[in-house]
Amino acid sequence: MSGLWDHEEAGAFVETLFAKHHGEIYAYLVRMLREPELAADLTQDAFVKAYKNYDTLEKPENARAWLYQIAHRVALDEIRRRKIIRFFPWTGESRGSAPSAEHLVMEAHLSGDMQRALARIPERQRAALLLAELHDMTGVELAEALGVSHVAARALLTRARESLRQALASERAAEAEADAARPGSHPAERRR
Amino acid sequence: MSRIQRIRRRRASESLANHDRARRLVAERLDGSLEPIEATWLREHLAGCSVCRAIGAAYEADRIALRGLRDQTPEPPRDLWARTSAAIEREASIRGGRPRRASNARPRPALGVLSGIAVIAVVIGASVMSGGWLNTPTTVPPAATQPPVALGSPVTGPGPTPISVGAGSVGWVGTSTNGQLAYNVTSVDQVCPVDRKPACAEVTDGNSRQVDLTIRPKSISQSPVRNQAVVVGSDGSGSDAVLVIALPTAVPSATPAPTPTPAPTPPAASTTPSSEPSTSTEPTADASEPPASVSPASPSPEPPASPTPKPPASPSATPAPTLAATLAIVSGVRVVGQSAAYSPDGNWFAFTARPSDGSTGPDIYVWRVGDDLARAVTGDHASVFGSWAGSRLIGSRPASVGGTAAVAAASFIIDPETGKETALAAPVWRPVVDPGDHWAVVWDGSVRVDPTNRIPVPDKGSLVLRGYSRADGVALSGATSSIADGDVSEFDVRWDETGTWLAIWIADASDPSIGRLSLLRIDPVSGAVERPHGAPQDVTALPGFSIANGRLAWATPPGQGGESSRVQIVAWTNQAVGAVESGPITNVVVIH
Repeated sequence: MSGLWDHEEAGAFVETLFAKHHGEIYAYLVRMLREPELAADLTQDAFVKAYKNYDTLEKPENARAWLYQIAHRVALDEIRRRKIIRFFPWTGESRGSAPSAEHLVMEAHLSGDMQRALARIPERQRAALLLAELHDMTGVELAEALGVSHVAARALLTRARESLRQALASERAAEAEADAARPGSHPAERRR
Repeated sequence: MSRIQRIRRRRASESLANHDRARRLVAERLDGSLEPIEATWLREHLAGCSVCRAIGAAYEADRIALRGLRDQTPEPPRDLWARTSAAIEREASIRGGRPRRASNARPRPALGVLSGIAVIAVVIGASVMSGGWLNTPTTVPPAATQPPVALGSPVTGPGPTPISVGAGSVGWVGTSTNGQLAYNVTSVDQVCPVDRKPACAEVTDGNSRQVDLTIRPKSISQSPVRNQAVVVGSDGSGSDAVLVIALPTAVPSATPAPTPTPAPTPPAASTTPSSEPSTSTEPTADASEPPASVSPASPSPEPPASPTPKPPASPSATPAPTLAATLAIVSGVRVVGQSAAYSPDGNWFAFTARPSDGSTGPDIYVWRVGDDLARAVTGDHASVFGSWAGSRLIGSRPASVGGTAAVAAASFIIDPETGKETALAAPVWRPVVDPGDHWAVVWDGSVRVDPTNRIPVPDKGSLVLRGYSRADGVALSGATSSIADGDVSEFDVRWDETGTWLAIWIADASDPSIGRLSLLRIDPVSGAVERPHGAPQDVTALPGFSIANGRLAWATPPGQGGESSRVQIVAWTNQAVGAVESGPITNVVVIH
């Protein structure tokens, strides 16, 4: 698809790409960065970059992985820039709607340790896990999205599983310790 | 080192390597099949290694837990495409090109600008009696001399330096110069300093969409999360039509069509809207949307004796599957006030209504998204909806009912699911709670029942900002700031999504069809009320305004000399407030 860079063609292509994939790209960036507002900005950046780099897409059938690779790089750039990922309990709610207290409690109970564990593992490993398990990417597509070879992607994923296991174990141990130390931690008291 | 020690060390090293290999393989096994030789080796190793077996089990459990996050897929902001397309256009202009604008390429929605705080396609059908509330929208051909309504970014030629406010949009419905109602969404990313606004070009665009509307909309509320809106309009028979519209997919989500959209079909004269070829751009089936098979019905010619909503009469027309469906969720009522609103999670819509025959006073109605009909959650015929506080609604009623004398106010919280009502201790009227549940604007004073329509209204008192907590409700004492007092009969208060800006519209005592609108900034910690320079204060406005995403939009009343209304848009950043306006528009309703 290299050759003349046609603005109209690129605009139409990105528009189509946006319609098909903006939801999953946004979700990926939220999961990577844990800040919905920032993820929205970066989603926008990713599609603008897709527009600007339209001529680098060699095979239209690889557009999804190509787009993910752009989004992945955008995310890593942001993480590098900030050097820190702020953690917020992610509720999955859209902008402008306040999560209920019940929702937050449930969220923290059900998946808080997973969220925290994910936040603790290296970002490339986190990306590999998210793409593989939540965005249904495997094999060559995963490698392309991560911008690495197939072998490297597989190795990254393997390391990610071990990192997640250790991070989860650590989170759960810390949580159990905190529960034990908390006054009134008896279930009957917590219900009051 | 002895030979035995070397052997032991080598064996330990080999054992460690074996465990590492086993853990790598159990991880890889999750992502695809192993080579037979590796699979065999792993099986044998696991048979004798409980630690590696446990790790393998942990990998699988973690994977299941991780996949559990699929249930929490975040929803992108609805104005994301508007923002993105604006950024792409900026990029294109830098490169000297211009990407294809969907709306320019073919007659389909102006996708590049459809989005955000207030987006709706009021595509109402050909005839109330025929059941055709909804019909195919068509693109309004740009007028030769003047666009029917303004749309797009301000044209910034020579004049004041514009203030960049980021991408965002404002929507409205109005009558175009050819007499047809038109649906418009304008992208507003630049405004002018308020004192230079007259020199700032009007927002312009020629891509408004004609709509065939047999009712005159009075208010339009868009769901915060779905491709859906509720339109309240007068049907001319003395009742109000309250319609739920399943919007075309591309419109509310502000996402472009994945594939070219066929040209819209001209408005159909029959009861069944004409069909379009099915494409992936069309509304998708969603249990939360109104049933497509239910056609809207005209309100009952005979007002019901009670305000209990009646099913739509004679469902006869079936909207084509390619079009957004509509649903009349209540009939035989008049909607009261301006407070109708979707819940923050978009699962409920609440409003106040009374029987159109005036037989009783008002009650609070809720409609659960996906239901056929709204239902009353109060039965005292003296209750009005105030606002949403999370997933519960807040209503108010006079503390004592039966007379027309001024009495104290009483407010309560209702769980729309169960109908369970919990009284608030503070004797305030119609609390409007901010999205963070920290502050509420309330009428702090007495109320009385208007004998002409049995609607309770504020009497003596003032609008104040009070502390609010989910546990305790409105603070019992200590009004933080007085916002308005005097002759307040009807008011409409709305917070922006940040809970730091709010707009207040207060109806004119002698003519409630117009009012005064002010924009205030609230310190979220102290509750201090600020009136920033440039923010509108007591400007004359028609009922219905939108406030979100750093933009406040309202319509000015028609002028004495026959001048049409204009949509005024004030937008702000942390540093500045600016404004821009549309061209003249007749019968305009700003979408919120």
